[in-house]
Amino acid sequence: MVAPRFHLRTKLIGSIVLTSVMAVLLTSVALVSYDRYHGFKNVSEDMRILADIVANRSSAALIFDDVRQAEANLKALGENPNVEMACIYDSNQKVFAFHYFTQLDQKPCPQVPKTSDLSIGSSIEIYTPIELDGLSVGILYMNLGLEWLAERWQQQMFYIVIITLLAIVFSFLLAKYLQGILVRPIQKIATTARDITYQQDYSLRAEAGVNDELGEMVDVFNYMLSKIEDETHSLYASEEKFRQLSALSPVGIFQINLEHQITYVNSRWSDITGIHQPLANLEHWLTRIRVEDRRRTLKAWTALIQNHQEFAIEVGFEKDGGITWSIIEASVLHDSKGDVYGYMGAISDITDLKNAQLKMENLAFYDPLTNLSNRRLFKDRLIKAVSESKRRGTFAALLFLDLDQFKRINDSLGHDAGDQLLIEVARRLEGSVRETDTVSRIGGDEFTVLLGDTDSSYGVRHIAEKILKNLGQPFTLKGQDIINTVSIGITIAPTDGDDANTLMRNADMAMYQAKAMGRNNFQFFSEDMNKEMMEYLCLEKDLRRSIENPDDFLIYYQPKIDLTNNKFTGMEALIRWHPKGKDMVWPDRFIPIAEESGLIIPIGRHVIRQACMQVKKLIDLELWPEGCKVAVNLSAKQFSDPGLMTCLKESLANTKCPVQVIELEITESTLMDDVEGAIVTMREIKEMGITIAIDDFGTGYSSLSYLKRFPIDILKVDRSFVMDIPEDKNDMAITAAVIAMAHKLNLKVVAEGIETHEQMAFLAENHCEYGQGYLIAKPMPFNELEEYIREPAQANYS
Amino acid sequence: MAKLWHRSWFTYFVLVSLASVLATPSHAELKTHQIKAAYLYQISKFVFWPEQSKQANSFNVCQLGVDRYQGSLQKMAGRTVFKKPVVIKMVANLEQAKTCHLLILSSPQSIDKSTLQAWLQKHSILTVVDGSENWSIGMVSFALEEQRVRLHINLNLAKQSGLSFAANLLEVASVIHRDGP
Repeated sequence: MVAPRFHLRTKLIGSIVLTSVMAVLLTSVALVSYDRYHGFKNVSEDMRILADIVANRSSAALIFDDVRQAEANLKALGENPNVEMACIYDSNQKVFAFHYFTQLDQKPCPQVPKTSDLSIGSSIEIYTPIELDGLSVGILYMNLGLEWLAERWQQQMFYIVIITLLAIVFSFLLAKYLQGILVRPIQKIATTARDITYQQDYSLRAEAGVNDELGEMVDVFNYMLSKIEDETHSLYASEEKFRQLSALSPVGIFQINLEHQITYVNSRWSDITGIHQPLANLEHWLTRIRVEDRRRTLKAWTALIQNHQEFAIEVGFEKDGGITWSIIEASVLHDSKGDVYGYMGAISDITDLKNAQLKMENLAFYDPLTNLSNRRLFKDRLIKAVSESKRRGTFAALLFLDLDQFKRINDSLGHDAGDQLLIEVARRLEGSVRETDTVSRIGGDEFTVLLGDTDSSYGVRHIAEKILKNLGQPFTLKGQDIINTVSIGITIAPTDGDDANTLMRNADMAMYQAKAMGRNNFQFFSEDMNKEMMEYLCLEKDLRRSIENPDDFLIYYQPKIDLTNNKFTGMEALIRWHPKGKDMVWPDRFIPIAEESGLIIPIGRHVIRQACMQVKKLIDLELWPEGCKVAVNLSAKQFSDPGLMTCLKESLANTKCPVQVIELEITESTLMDDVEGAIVTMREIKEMGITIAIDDFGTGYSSLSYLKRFPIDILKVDRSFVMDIPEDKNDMAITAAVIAMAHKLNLKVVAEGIETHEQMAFLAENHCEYGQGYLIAKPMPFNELEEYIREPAQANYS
Repeated sequence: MAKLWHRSWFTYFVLVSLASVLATPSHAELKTHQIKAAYLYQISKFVFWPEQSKQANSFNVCQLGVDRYQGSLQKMAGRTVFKKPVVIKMVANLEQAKTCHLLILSSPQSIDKSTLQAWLQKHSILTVVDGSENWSIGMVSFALEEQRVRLHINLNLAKQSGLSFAANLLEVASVIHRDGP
């Protein structure tokens, strides 16, 4: 039930009227009460006095027994209209005389009169003693009715009612007039307030009009409105700022009230969470979150609500079939009193970040090209496999693989073909092993295969053969079928090493052995390899030492002759090494080591210097025939050494050796390693005036197109072709063909390793220009060379 | 049973009736002189006595003539009038009655009116006489009317003696003589 509304005006008028009425009534009641009391008193007094008088007067009548007189006296009391009866008692308290003043309701005189009394009950009763000379001779009794009082009372009531009504009327009229004065300012305020509410216009103001407290109130009201207006403006501005900020924000913003309903979100929030209903609640939100993250989210959220603990958690939203990664941060909102009225938070999309993170994690452990595990992961797995094999007493096998022709393919077909090759190799490797085995790419063209829990070397061998077979199949790259073989080194744990590093080193060694063994094979690591390694290291050490003492190196020269006239045409400089205190080491022993370690550079430099010097000597002794050259071997390392040109120039300059006597021999395989680079270097050498011979021709993989492009002068046929003459018809045919081809390319040919006359004859027949070999002359030291040149044709023909 | 009736009930009845007869003093039953005596005492209360009279040591009630009150006057003896004790005297002549306040003329025939009046003018004495016919010598005359003792008052006489009466006494007087004889 709604309480009825009363207007202020009504209340005001009502209160004034009520006040007036109350005043009138109270006054009336007071007056009436006073009047009643005093009325009683006065009447009583009057009656008492009257009674005294009558009593006094009646004494004679009583004494002299004059009832009539006594009655006559009593009658006098009738003056007062209220007296109802009077009785006179004699000294024996017997009724002597009485008189009734009323016709009705005549009560008898009281049986036993009191001596002197005035009592007010339903009537006033007065007992007065009749005295004569101090002695009581009787009692006068008077009884007054109170009707007079009732009448008086009624009259008064009547007048009160009249006056009250008048009061109501007048006060009403007055109030009606007055309330206007009072209420008007309030009405103005109310009207203004109402107008403001409906029109939402805070610039309105109320008129004051009066100069009292109400006027003050109006002024205060207006002032308050001004303040509200200002605050509304600033609030609006603030909200506008927020709106803008929120719209621009790259972060999703949300606000939740105490009932867990979402009261505000910006558009970015909807983008991130994928929820577009504006009135979603917390539970709905949870359903969009990845299952794995829900418990964590709920926990954080509960902590926020119960303990007001702010949180920042990483959460994935399932959206459009994918996952949007986000960070949700939330905190508590406090109002001006410090009470919590809601929660607010932000969601940042970190999908890209996360993906990058995942990718990085991936990169950390996986090779991006082939998706095989990378070196780090491989190492980790190797360590695990080793400890596992130790623990369980099983074997694990480690295979190191190196692609044999990777560099060549990369150069000839391009890097993308190289990448394709690597990917295909990776696939084939994975296909060759079990799922539990690990295939990794640990370097450019280096792969490893980790076979866990193998029981025998037979199984390992089987897998190695399978790998060789699979990888031996042609690869189709850029529409061409290319063969790429692989060299495999195998170690078994824990036999060949009980820690990862040893195993890796030994497998590497085994792999190099496989390469040395001609590639496209596998080699098991053995102790001998180790031994060899030790020796290798020892030799390397000695080499280093010898580089400090170049006298350890000697240059031997093997003369070359012109096969047409058997005349000395030049010589090949060959290095010999005799480390101090040790046996002489053959070049085929230490040259690879020097090449591997890079020591070949200083050694080679030494060789070039020595050769230049010694030829110069011969020239100075006028022993050096015109047009002869000394050929110095350049190893692959030397050839690709950027300081090569400088070295050559310096050596020639320092020794003052003429440039045209120098010839450089470069093996076919060295040239084919990096064809374009080789051509550039060769051009540079040629520009200096140095002739170039391609050495060990036929053992490399050169193609005729390259041969055409090489700026070379001499072609040296490898000894392997020469030594089978005249037995191997194929070799003979090849040799003849090579000579013919070389001639076609304007190259001179030198045949190496001539040891028999037949060979020399055959070569001469096929127009090979020059020859070199034991038949002609063995390599000799410089001092012997002098002699040899002086006495030409002191050849060891016989 | 007859004995009991004879003894207690009858005795009681007689006693009670006697008592009631005796106890209820009606005017008819009471002797007149007793009433008059009582009245006399009361009347003296309704008289305005001159100061001189009040100086006396006692209130003297004198009877001149035959004693008609048979000792009932003695009843007044212990009481007081204007706080002076009442003394009852028998006097033989007026001379003796000089000091009386109240003089009862029991033998009114033997009194000379003019002498009395002259004497009364010198002395303030209230004269009381029996019989309404004697009103000229009695300021207060007792008259028997309708079996009641009534008062007749001679105001003139009282005035000549310097006495006056209270109004309420005059009211109960059945006859008031204002003029002189």
